[in-house]
Amino acid sequence: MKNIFGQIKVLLIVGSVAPFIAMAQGTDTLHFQQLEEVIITATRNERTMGSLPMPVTLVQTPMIKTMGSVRLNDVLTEQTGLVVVPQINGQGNGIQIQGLNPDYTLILVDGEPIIGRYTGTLELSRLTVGNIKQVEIVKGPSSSLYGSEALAGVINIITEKPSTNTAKFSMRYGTNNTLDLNTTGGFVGSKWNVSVFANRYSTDGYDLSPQNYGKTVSPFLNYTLGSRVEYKLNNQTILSIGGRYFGENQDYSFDVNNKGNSIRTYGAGKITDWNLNTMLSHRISNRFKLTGRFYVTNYETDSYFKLERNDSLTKQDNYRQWFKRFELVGDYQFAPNHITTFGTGLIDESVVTNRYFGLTERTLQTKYLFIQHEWNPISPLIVIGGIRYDNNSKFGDQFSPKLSVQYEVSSKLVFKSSFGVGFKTPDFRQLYYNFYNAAGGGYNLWGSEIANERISEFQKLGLIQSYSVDLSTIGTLEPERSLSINIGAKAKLSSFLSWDVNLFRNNIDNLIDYLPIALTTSRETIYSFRNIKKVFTQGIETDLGCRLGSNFSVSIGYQLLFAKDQAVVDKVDRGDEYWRDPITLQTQRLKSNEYFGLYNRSRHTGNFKVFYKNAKSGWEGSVRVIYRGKFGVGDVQGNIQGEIIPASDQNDNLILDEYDNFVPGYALVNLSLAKSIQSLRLQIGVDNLLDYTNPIFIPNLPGRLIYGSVSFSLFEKSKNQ
Amino acid sequence: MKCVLSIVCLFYFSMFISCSKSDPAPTPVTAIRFSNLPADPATSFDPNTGAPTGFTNKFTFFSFATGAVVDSPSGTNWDLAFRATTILVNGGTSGAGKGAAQILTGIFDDVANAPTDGYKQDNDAGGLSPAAAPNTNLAIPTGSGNAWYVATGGGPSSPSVITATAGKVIVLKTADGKYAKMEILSYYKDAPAPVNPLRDIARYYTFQYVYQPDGSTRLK
Repeated sequence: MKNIFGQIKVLLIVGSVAPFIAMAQGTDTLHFQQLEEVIITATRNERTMGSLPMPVTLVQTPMIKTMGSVRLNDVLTEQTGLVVVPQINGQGNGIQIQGLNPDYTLILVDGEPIIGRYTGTLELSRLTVGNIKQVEIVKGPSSSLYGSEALAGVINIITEKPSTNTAKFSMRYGTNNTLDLNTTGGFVGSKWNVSVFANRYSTDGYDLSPQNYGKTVSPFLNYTLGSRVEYKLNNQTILSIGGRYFGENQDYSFDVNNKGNSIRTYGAGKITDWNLNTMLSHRISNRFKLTGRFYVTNYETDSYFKLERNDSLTKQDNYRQWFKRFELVGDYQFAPNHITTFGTGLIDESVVTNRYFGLTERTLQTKYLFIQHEWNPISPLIVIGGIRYDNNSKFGDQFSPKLSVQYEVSSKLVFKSSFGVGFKTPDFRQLYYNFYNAAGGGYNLWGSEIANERISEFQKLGLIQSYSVDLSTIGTLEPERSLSINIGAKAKLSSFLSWDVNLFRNNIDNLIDYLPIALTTSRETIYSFRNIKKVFTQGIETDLGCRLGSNFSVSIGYQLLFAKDQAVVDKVDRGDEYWRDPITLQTQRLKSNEYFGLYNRSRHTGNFKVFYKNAKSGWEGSVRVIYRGKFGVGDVQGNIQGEIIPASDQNDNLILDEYDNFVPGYALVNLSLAKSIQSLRLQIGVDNLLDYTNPIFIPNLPGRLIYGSVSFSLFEKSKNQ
Repeated sequence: MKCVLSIVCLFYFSMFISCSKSDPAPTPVTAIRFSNLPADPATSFDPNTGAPTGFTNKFTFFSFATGAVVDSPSGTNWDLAFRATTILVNGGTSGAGKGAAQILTGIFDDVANAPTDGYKQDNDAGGLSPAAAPNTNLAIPTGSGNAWYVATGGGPSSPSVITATAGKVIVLKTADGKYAKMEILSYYKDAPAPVNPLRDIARYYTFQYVYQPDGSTRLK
């Protein structure tokens, strides 16, 4: 079967990958074939980069190796328009796409979702890139294919599939006693192939505030194990079974500094995460293929904190989540220029945690149908339209359409645009959270599903003093919905210069936020969640790629971003927003151009990269500069080694304006150099060469990291050729 | 004709004289800043959690006429009473005076005259009771976002922050019915910005006010 979309010439390649690939093509044709730019995430079918009308970034393994990356956050942080942001308590790494929070990006491994968004964010460093083929990033909503969470974008990690018998080993050792051990094996028979994979990652962590007891990031150790077996039952049918396990242990020790008291605390945390993925694919005819998949995954964490002085427990947390999905997907080719993809599925999710009300298991079921049609009416025009219907046991019906169009003006210029609706159903936390903060003012935060029940309990006990909202408005949350537009172009400016630009706008009119609902008789506020916020993000992302000779490539990437709360914009425009000078305590009216926007968003981010690769001599190297402009931090104050993270707002209006205290912008300089001698590869590198750190606001950024790595293939024998 | 003119002149002059007698040059009213008024602050902190303890649940009383804390409050010798985020006026259920208040949104210096109506008195059974009594339905409402402050953040080891919202002006009637305006500048000792709830001590008011002793509504 010939794929019409594959015939369209790969005109230009998105982003940073572009020059690299072009270079590989120039020096080594075989190399280029292995690096064929096929993306599965954007349409659920294998499509070439050039045939996709939506913004897509592709990062392939040779690039990842040259960068010396070992975890997913290392890879994503260097891509234009992707910002790796610290999360709750400033710890951890989440991904921000088009200015939207990490909660709104779906993360998949081989098309199956990774769960364990304990605080809403998926921790990117949980995912090793030791066994992958490529990372595909589709920006803008993809709910038309993937449903909930695919609102800002989808990141799909495609693991390596063996084509020959191989066994590869690699070891990387660096600063902070960080050791990454990786082994992959591939065994290929005439009817079957097997891949196995193991990774061990350990580190002593690091300490950015040596004056404080404990470490900024405590030592941890994790293992990732994976395997997949694929068996060809006959020429039409393939059965595949795969599994993955991840386990991590971390020990903590820190001081809580409160009002002059240093309260020495220790604890430990444990994460386990596994999944099993069974797939049966059958080709009914040349035109019709059906694939059935069953996926089950489990994520668990347990942690505790104790006081050192008397071993009394100060905090204990556990969280267990299950996700099961059955899916049937078909694609039918009516004509070479008409392809329809359709699917249906069932999802069953559940969570048990001490953080939710009652130790009962909370569940959600989703049934869904989707259909997508790819049409190529005349050769320069590609139209892809799709819609998905989701029926959720709690939230009812959702329809998510998307339309994308690409027009190739000439071989040097292509226009792209896509319009779509994205959605995210409220997470379990927003539904069942039952949190009481005894310290300080004391307050309760209740999920929307339990708020009414708890309110009536409190009322019976005579604990409610007054209500802040009409109670009938509490207890029903709706899925958050976005309306998004992406319009872009790709231009080949000359034989060695390519330019890529995309303009985006995302509107969310019913963002979930918490608000005070009642006051208790002991003057404690009760909060719950509601769809109350209206936000938008808009901006431009652009990449300029340049090939210098046959071995060098240079690229510049930049994103301009405006992410704002519509209610604040309106209030500032009306002249109803003020700020108080923190020194003079004088209050002044805030002007329209002085409102900066949402927290944790940088207006300017960018990168500058130079890659060198000489296939003949085996040398390769890179210089990458990653810039993140100034940003503000919100009112989620956490502790870093017992120090509070102060909010950016210092002028009493609780919004981020030009007079607030921003986290300054910074640039990271990363270098790498590698030499391949047949099957042996040696690499040295430095990340964060200038040793930039910001212990309070960017604790997830370690200082300078120097590393060396060795990798080799034990045997590599082609069987299939 | 001359006579008429002279009478008019005389009348005019007498008007002028009488006017200047009954309307002396207005005494300037100035904004005064009062720092660190204690409103039942913690007297000790839990050594295990750092949580504030040792509250007395007692109010601190303030008089605009004297510009000072009133040690022995009685009758109408006080205008406002402060305890944590609760502020009472000397009127309605809270006191024997004519105290009342309303909240305006704007810039303190721009409020030139007190509105003549729109005031509210306290109407709460708790009143000045020293027990940790509830205080609702007050002239200056309590609760985050309801009047002059917003409570944010907080977690197991960090108390929430009380931010005195910029652009909120409280216009008051004092216990004896005179007008005043005030802006609360900070809820923390020595008005730190930004507030660090693990370091800064809450329940210390810093505010600025203009008090008009002549009974007029002029506040500038």
